[in-house]
Amino acid sequence: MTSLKNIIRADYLQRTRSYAFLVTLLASIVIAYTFIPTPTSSYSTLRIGNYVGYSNAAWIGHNTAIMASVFLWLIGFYLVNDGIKKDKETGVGQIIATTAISNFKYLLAKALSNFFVLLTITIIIILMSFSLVLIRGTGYPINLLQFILPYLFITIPSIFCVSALAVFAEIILGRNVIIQNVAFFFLFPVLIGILNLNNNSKIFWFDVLGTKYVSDELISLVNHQFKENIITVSSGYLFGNNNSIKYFLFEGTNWSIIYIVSRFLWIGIAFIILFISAKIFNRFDFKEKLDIKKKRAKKIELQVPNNVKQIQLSQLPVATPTFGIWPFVKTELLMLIRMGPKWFWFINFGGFIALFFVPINSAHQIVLPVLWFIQINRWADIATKEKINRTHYFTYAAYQPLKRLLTAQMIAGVILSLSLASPLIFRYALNGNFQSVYNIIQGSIFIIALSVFTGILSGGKRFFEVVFFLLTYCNVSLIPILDYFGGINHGYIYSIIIMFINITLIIGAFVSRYHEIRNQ
Amino acid sequence: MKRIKNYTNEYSMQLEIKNLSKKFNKDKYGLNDFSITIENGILGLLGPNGAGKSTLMKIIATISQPTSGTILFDGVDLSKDPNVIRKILGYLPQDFGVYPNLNAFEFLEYIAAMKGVGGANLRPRIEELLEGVNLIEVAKKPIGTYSGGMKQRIGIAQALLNNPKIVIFDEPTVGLDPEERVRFRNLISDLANDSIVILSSHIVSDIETIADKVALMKKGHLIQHGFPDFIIETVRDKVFESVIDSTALTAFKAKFLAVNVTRKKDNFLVRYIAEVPINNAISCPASLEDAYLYLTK
Repeated sequence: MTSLKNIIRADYLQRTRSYAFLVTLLASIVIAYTFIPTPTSSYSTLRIGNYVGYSNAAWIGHNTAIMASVFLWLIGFYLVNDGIKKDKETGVGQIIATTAISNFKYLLAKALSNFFVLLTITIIIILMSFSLVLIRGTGYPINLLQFILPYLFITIPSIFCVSALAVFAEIILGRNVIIQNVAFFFLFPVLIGILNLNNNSKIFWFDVLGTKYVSDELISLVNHQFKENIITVSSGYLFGNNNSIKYFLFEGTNWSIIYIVSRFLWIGIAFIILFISAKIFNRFDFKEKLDIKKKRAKKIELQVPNNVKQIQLSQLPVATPTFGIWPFVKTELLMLIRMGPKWFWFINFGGFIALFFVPINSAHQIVLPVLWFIQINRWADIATKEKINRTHYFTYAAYQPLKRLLTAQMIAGVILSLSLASPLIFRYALNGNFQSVYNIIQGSIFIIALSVFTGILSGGKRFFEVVFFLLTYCNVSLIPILDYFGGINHGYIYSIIIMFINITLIIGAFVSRYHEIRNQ
Repeated sequence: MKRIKNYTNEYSMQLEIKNLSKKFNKDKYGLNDFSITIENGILGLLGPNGAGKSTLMKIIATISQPTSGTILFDGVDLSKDPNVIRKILGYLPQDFGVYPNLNAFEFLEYIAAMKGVGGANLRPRIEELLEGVNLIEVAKKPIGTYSGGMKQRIGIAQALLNNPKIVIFDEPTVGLDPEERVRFRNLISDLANDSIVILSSHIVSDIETIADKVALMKKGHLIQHGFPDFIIETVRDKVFESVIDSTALTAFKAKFLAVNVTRKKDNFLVRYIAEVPINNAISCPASLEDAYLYLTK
C-alpha cells in the first residue's frame, strides 16, 4: 500500500509541478466563475425550460457540480491521457517493467494519479463556487450538505471514470494519439446524447456523468410547482431568452439509494476497465506486441567497414550562404504531413470531399471544424516539437531562429490548414462570398497562432489540445462567442476582432519564443 | 552597417570570455566568474559532472544567456549580436534529438537551412559528410530507426554542414565504437587547422590525445588552463604504484588518492598520487588523467 501511495504521489507531483498545470488551474478558476452567471449576464448554465433556481447554496452546488462533471469529462481526458506515454518516452517505463509491481497496481496508480489531478481542479471549482455562494447568495440559509453532496455523487465518480478511461485509451491506442483524441471527440457527444433520452426514468444507470438523475429531479420540481410540462434540462453556456427567465426555489435533491448505488457501480466499472487494461498492457514491450510496426521499429545497425571514406574538410564542396525561409517551410510541411498513420489521410480525404458536397452551412459549421480538429496533433506539434524531440539546441543556435524558423513553422501550418479548407473556400469564392473566405483564412491563422503561442507558453501540447477540443466542441454546438472561423458570425466587426486576436497571438508567440531562446 | 568578415584559412580568431557567471538559483552557480581566452586549435574541457562544461558550451553556442560577464568574438559581444557566431558555428550538444520522421538527407537539409547554407553544392556536401560518417547506405531511412551511435554520427555531420569556424562538441564520442572514435579524433585534428574547436569529454585519454590546450573546471570555476604538459606537471614525480593487501586497501584509500586499483589474486595493484609514497613504491610517469583526478578531488 505504501509503494502504491509513493507511486501515485510521485506521478501526481511530476504532473502538477509544471507551468502548464498552473495555467490550467488559473483557467479553471475563471471557468468556475462563469458557471454561475450574474442576473444581468446574457447566458445561463442550467435551465429547466425558462426556469432557473435562486442562487442559494443548493442551486449553486448542483449547477456547478453538473457543469464540473461535464467540463472535467470534456477536458479531463486530454489533461491526463499521457501518464503512461511519459513513462515510455522518458525511459522510466523500462525501469518499471523490470520491477515487481503488477500491471494492475501500476495502472491503478496511474488512474489514481489522473484522478487526483482532476480532483485538484474540482477542489478549485468547489472553492470558487463556495465564494460565489457567499458573494451572490440570495439570502437563503447556506445548506452546506446540499452544496457539497452533488460534487460527491456527481462529479467525483465521474472524474474517477474518465481517469480510468484515459488509462485504458493509452493502453489500447498508446501509439496512436491522433486516434485517441479523435475517438474521444466522438465519444463525448454519445455520452451527452444519453442524457437527452427522456423517455426512461432509469436512464441514469447508463449516465456516467451522473447528471441525469438531478436533471429529472429538477424537471419534476418545476413541473409540479408551476404546472408545466417541461421534458428536458438544458446545461452548458446557454445564450438567448434571458429576458423570459423565471426563478424558482431549489432546496436540494432527494438522493435515492439506487442513484448512489449507480454511482458506485460506475466506480466499479472503472476498476473493471483497469483490470482489463492490466490484462492487455504489454509492460512497455511495444515492439514485441505490435507486429505491424515491427518492421519499421527495427533498429538499423551498421558495421563500420575498414575502408570508410575519411572526411576531408578542405575537399568538401562549399555550400553557399542562403538565408531564405522556404527550405524550412518545405520541411516543416513535410513533417506535418508525415505525422500519424498514413491511412489517416483517407479520413482527411473524406472530410475534404465532404467540404465540396455537404450543404455549405453544415460544411462550414460542422465539417470544417471537425476536419481541423482531427489534425490536433499536427497543430500541437508545430512549435513544441523542438523540445519534445530535443532538437532545440540546433534550432535555437540557428541563424535568426525567430525571424526565419518560427515564421516558416507558422506559414507551413497555415498552408496545411488552408489546403484542408480549400474546397469550402472555393465554393464561397464561386458564390462571391469573400467575407466567408476571409473568415476561413483568419480561422486557419487562428488555429496555428493559438497552437504556437500556447505551445511555447506552456512548454507542451496539452494546453492547446484541451483548449482546441473545447473550442471545437463549442463550435459544433454553435456557440457564437467562440466561433473563430465565421461559421456563425458573418459581420465585419467580428472579422476585425478575430484579426486583432490573431495579431495578438502572433506577437505573443514571437515574444515568448524570443524569451525561450534567450533563457535556456 | 554590420561588419562582414571573411574567415579565410589564414585568419586567426579569438574568443574572449570575461568574468562569465551563470546563476541557476540563489545558491547554485553553473559558472562562476569564469574567464578564458580561446584561439585557433583544440581546447579540451575537463571536469566532473556539474563542473559547468555544458553550461559554458551552451553560452558560447548562444542558446543560453549568462547572468553576468561577456563573451567577445573578435571584439563583438555575443549577447548583443549572437548571429555573428551562429553563421560559422558547428555545435554538437550532449543530449540532442532528431526528427524521427525525416531521413538523413532531409534532416541535414533542414539543419543547413537553419545555418543559412544551401545552393547547388549542398547536396554533394551532405552526401560526402554522410559517406564520411558511414551513413550513406541508410540515408533514405527515417532517422527514428537509427541506433544511438548512428544518431550521434548524424549529429557530427550536422555540425560540419556550414564549414564552421567555431566548433563545439559536447561529449561527442558517446555511443561511438572504438574505430569511430579514432576516425572522429582524426576529423577533429583536421578541423582544428583553421578553427576554434572546443571539446568536452569524460574520456580523458581522448582529450589528452588531441587537445592543444586543456581547461580544467570544477564547480563552475576554471582551476587550470594550459598545454597538457603544463597540467601534467602538477603531478610529476607524485604518481606511484604499490601492491596493497586486500585487508589494508580501505585504509590506504583513505590516506592516498588512488587513481586506479587492479585486482592481483589476493592483493591489489594501486596507482596513487602522493607527496611521499609508501616503501617499495614504484614511481610512474604522470598522465593527464592523474592530474585531472588530483586537481578535481
